[in-house]
Amino acid sequence: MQCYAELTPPTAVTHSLAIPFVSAQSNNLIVAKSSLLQIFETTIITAEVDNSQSATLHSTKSVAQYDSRLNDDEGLEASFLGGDAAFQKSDRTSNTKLVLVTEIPVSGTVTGLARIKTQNTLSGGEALLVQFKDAKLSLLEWDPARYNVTTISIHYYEQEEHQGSPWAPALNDCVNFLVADPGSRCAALKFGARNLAILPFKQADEEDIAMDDWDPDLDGPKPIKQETASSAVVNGTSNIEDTPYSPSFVLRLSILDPNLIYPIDLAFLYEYREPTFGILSSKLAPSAALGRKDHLSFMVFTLDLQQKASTTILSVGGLPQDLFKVVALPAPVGGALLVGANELIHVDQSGASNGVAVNPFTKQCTDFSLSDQSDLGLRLEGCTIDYISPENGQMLIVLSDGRFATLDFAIDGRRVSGLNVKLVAPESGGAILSSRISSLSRLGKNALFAGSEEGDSVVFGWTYKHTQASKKKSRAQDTLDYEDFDEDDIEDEDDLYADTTTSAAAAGGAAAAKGGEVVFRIHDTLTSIAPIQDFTHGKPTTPTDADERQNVVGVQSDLQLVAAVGVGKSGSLAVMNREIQPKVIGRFDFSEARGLWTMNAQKPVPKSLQGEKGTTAMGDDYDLSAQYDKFMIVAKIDLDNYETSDVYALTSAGFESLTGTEFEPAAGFTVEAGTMANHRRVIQVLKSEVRVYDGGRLANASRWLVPRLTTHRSWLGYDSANAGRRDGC
Amino acid sequence: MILPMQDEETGAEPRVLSASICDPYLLLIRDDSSAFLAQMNSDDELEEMDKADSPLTSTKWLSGCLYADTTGIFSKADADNATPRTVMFLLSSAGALQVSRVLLLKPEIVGLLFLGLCTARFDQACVYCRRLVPHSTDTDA
Repeated sequence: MQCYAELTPPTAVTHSLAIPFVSAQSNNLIVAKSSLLQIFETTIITAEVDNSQSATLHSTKSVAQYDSRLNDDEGLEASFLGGDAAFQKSDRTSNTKLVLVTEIPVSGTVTGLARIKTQNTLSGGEALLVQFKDAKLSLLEWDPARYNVTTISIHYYEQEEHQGSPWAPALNDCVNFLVADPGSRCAALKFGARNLAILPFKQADEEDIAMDDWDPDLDGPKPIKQETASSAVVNGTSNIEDTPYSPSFVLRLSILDPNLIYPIDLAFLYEYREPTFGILSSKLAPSAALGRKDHLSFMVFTLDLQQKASTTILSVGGLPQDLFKVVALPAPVGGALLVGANELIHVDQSGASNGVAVNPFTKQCTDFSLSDQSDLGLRLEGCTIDYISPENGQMLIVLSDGRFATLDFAIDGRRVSGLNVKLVAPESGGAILSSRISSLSRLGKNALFAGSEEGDSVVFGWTYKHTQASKKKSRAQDTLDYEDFDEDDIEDEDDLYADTTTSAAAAGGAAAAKGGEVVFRIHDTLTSIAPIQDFTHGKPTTPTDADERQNVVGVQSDLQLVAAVGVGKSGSLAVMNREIQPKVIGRFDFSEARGLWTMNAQKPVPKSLQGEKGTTAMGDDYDLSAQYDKFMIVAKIDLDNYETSDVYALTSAGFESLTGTEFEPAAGFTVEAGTMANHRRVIQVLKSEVRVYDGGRLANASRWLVPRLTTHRSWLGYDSANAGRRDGC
Repeated sequence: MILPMQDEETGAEPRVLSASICDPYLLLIRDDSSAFLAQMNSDDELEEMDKADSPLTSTKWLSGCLYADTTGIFSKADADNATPRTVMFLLSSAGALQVSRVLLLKPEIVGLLFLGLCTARFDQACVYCRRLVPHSTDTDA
């Protein structure tokens, strides 16, 4: 519908997902901004961190207590910087940066993202399942030949027969969400009041697993595996077998279990042979006002996709009524974490539960047995949870005001015996985010992407701060931090790495044994001007200096748009311009110029010092020993339409016109000029010939100054609008 | 030295419309829709490249540009040497985009894209290219 013009694209990140999309080895981040899908690639760059900067509440750089030993590669930094390294030493740290690959505006609103590993994608990477508003799913893959995304299939569940009774709420009024099995065996879309659409995906090795037990002596000759691809098109109809998915089916949740009347959240669990999901639901509608307490239950079902049947594995009842989210946990912790506004409860595979209450209201709202940490006073509504390190089960909770808290599991053998929540102090980067976030995605071993609808979306990473006592452990710890990108260190510390894995496992996963407190730092930011609270237009500020004011005439725009954006601590003013506003540092009139080319030409080396010819590579590398002259060639047409060209040299006094060279101004209009042969030759392309000048001969000339040009200080910038349009633009 | 545009056989002197410089090659598009390719040799002298029976001479060109392919995005996977290869982009008057490598005397065609009645001119600073595959013959409006 083209009844509006979009001035700025959407900047609030609603969903994000880390997925190897462009190829099987790439590390991509897919960001959904309502109706815009962006695909990013991650890259790691090293940057210097100023160690002397003192910690502020909202510091985005590393803090003063940063342990420099963590990044000291074998003491190289210290030796390179010399004696005063101790005082102003700047450490090299690595930052994960986002690089945009492509962006796709979609027609529709994205309400969910999931990654599916299917066989035979065009790029070799995984496929992306996108959920759109109401109940529609699109399966997308990357096409490397066209450098764009193609749709594999579209699934929609908006038909009449799924709507249920006439008094059931409309699809927009229900919470519809998409979840995918971690083993990519299926995806589930919960839509409507209590419908679950299951989309099964084919697995490559299903048949092969069955074949492993085949014994040729007992069972006869092994049948040849049918090539499904060859049966793709039979009699002109495409066979259903060449799609990566099988036909989907819709279940009403009440068929799985009569108690699933009000489903709240569901998630597929790890470490099960068949796709298994845990669902948090209730027989009664949750309501705080009616004083209903502890009527929620958590049930785990296994799906048999072939039979379209399910089996109940476990059921935990009497859960507090403010639980709102199920988070599946991978090994070694396992099970599921149930998140509520006032508590966190972990349910493991056998149904045993452990919980922690994080604020004083928990006692009033539930009778479920929980360990008490109510002195923390945390409110978990609107929080997002993800892993810091799956190996020791440390998780990160980002609260609704952007503060960080860590959750550690006390693991006793193979069982979880307790949960421990701790707020991250502002000195350790606990307050680097200033607003609520909408999604968390893991970008690397030590980096997470936090997408926000109320402020800037950031990529942040963490390191472990070690105390003096655990210095030895810190060396081994470094290898884990550097593993992904510092290959040079791997060779030296290969043996240490082997020790670390065993020592980490032996530590039992408790954070205290690891000896490190987590310190967070922002690596990269995606600017966001959402939500726009109000905006107005106005004139931009003009410089007070009369000369500067003259310079910006015609360049600075007349009006600017100012908007009040953000919420709470991330509130700010955004100033928007239609064009780039350059800072003009100089301007002069050159009305007859039609084209301008600048170049560096090598001065000729005296014959005695000349080395072998042809040894220098044909590249752009500047020879550091050579001297360079800076020239500018200008193509002019004056008032009588007489075409000439002129050459100027840049000296400390400004641009000076050159005479006494073989350059002929009367030769005509220059079409193009530049240097070749590694800056030894100046090329001037005229309309009827090409002239090649030796860089040296242009320089050996008598010079005379043009008064008009030398009233300005030596500068390199000039107003392009006045110096003449570049030929060909 | 001066390199004239004069064609010895016909005596015609076509004027240069646009030029593209990319060390060590120079590409000129002239007003008779012909392309002229010159190379800087080891004596630092510019000489015309012999392109006798290549499609370079037979087609009419509207615009062209040279590009130093340092990242190898236009080279095939089996590219051996590390020196940046120069890739030449030419837009013919019929609307076809030809991309070829300017390595030896005989440029080979890397990919072909039909751009319809596109009369865009190439500016060295803004070459927007999608990844081309030898067998791709997509129609792009």
